[in-house]
Amino acid sequence: MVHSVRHTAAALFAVLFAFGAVGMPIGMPAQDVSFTASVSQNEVAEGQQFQVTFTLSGGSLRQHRNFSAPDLNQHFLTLMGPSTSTQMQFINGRTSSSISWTYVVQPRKKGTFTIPPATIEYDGEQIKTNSVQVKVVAGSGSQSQRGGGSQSGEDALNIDDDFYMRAVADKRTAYLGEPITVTYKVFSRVNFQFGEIVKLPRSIGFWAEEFEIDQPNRYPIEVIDGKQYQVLSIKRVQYFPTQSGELFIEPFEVSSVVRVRQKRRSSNNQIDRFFSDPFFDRYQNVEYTLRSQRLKIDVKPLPEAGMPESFKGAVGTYTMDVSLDREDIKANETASLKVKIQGSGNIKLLEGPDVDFPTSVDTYDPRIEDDMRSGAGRISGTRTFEYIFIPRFPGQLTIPPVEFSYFDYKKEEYVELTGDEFELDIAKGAPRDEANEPTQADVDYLAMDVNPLKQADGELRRRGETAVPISTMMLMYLIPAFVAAGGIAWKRRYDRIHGDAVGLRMRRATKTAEKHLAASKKYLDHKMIEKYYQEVARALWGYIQHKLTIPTSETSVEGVLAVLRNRNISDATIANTKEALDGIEYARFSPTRAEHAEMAELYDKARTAIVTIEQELRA
Amino acid sequence: MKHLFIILTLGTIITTAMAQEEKSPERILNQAAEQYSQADYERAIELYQSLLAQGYADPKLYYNLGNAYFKNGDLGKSILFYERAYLLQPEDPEIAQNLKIARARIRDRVEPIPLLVIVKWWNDLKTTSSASTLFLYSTILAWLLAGAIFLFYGFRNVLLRRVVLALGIVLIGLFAASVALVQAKNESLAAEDFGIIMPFEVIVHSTPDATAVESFKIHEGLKVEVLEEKDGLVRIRLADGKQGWISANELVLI
Repeated sequence: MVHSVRHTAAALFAVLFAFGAVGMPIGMPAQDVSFTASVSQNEVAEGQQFQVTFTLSGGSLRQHRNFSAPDLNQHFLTLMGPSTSTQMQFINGRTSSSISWTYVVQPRKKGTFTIPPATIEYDGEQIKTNSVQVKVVAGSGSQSQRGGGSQSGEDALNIDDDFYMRAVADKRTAYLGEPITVTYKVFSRVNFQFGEIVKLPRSIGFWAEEFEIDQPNRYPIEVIDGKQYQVLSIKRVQYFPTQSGELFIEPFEVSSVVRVRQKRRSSNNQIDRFFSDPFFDRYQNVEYTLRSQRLKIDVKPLPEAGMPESFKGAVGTYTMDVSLDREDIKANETASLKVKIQGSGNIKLLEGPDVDFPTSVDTYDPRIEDDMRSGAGRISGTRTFEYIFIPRFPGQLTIPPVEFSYFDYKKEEYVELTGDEFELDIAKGAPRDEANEPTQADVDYLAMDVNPLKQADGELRRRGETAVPISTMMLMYLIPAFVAAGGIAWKRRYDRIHGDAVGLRMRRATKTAEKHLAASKKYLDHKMIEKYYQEVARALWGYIQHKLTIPTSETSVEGVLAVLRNRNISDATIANTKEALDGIEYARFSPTRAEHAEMAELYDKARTAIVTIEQELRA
Repeated sequence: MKHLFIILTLGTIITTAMAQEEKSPERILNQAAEQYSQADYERAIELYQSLLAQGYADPKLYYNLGNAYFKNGDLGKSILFYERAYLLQPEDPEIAQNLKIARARIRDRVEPIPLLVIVKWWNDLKTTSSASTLFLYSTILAWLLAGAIFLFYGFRNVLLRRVVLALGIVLIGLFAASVALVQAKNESLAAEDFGIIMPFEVIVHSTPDATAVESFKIHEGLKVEVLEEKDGLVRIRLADGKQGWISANELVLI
């Protein structure tokens, strides 16, 4: 039995030892630690990105600290990093591990540059890497030409060729008011996601109208310079120039996140090679801002020749329909004339045509109602002008035809539209009531239709359920009252138990002093000298300290007197108090020498001091 | 005997419950909306009125009924029901707007006489807030007041107590006013002193007797304050302060 236990223990030790042996190189400060710097390419083109890697290999990964990279930004632009990676290898039964820090950088200019060494503390010792030389040669130049939009200094990720945005306008010259359709297209050869779609910037001299774009499930593919691109139209906007001359449509920005592959160093190492299979490639998400280019638009003024008198700036193609709300109108009644203009163009900027009502008719400003549709690459719809008018006299009333004209930019000519003429026979109506005529505000409400019905959701209230019941009111007012009463009661109890010891002592100081004086009187009569002095001292010192809230640590007579002076106690009282206090001090050191008369005198002095201070403090 | 009574009561409860199931207010409202959408406003009005007869007094119901009357060309009644809806739920923008749209069609333009600022505030608070909103204000004030009382009686700090005392006095005033406001709103919900003129045109007389002189005319939909009633006649006052007597059946109280 014992034997087998010993065996088991031995086996256990063997196993532990075996583990220990394997673990040792990891745990022990290893002799063959190396810290090296390397670059993915020693010769790079201008603007081409490459990797700088610092690798610590061998030894324990836990024993290093304070990795510090050299200043890479002196000659290069750091795009990413540091990204750290750790590796562990078992070769011929030996374990070795390594950790590396990788930066992705881009040269700023041509030339030969040295990457200075990085430092690290390993097992308390500082070690350095080698320095590396990188030669930057002239680039192919193709990189920065393509993207007029997204190539802007710091944010260049060198994927401009693979991911950019274009503003595509259907025309570069237009008449004043003529719509220019701009489509913002994103060309992409990378994986990406859109972040926030920023609002369209305001372009001076334009009125912008955005379209909804249906996003297809699969984006169309376009081939540009032999490369395939996914093309997304992310926004379509119609711009209506409101002034002529050379105008600019400002760039549009969209933030996005791009997934880029992080290249690994090629290595002869088997495991590395295994992991360098594309399946194991590392990806990194990088923020990237897409920016379209600024568009220059030449806006021509509308031709002066042939401009009709009724022209008020309408550009596009329109039809007009003029109608009256009813024919049988009485004098002093309100009626309305509707001018409906339908078509496409700068319809949202249309002004109402002038209607020449006869002077016998009162008129108001027209009410405008819009019904817009955007589709098929243009904005179309209807704008209705409602003219409320009140004929004042019975008889024949003629409303002359309404004239509306617009500039057709396709045909480059003006078109005039004329509505019907209305001949009305106004019947005799109620006499004019000046005081009760509608105001402009009323006219707005007169033309409005009522809001739609409300849906039946939830319980309907019954009669008697509409007011707040008295019982509810009482309850809701009593709850805070009870809470306040409870709070006060609690607070007072709390104070009694915990708090305000100082105030309490102050109020009780006189009583306590009286108690001690009475006791001392008793000791005086029984000639118990030591006890007597003790009680007198307690009476006077205790009184002064508690009454004036002097801390008990303050024991000097002068200190106490100073406080008394501050509290405006009279000099006589202070003098008396001083004598009493001095007497107590003196007696404390030589109590036995005191005579009975002396002791009785001290008692009187202490008593007088307390009484007079009490009186003077109250005054 | 006792068992029979229970069975009978249960039976009544079940049958009434079933009867109500058949004509639940939601169904009637939906039916009415259906009629309304088909421009059969008469039928919609009938359905809404049947709900009123069942004792419902919901702002939604009043509003929808007001709409039906409006579409049916009955301005006076539409204003009456919009006013009733507005009284219950002044915070609802649709109710307020429909009331304005209907009011714009009243023939009379009455310029209200300016009131004392404090009276105006009081009236505005009362008319533009619902009873529950006013009650919420007063409850908040009750809690603030309770807090002030706690601070005043629970602490001895002189400065704190002085500040709290001043604050408390203000709070007492505000709280009392808010309670009075809730009460006033409750009263106006129970019985409003205002009525809506129903006939197209009403002649207002200066005195209640038969030989009264015609004073002025008012029209359908106008809101007037009812001051007193005597022998089927009522003395009314317009917002501009004009007074006179009309027949009691020429107006309907809100």
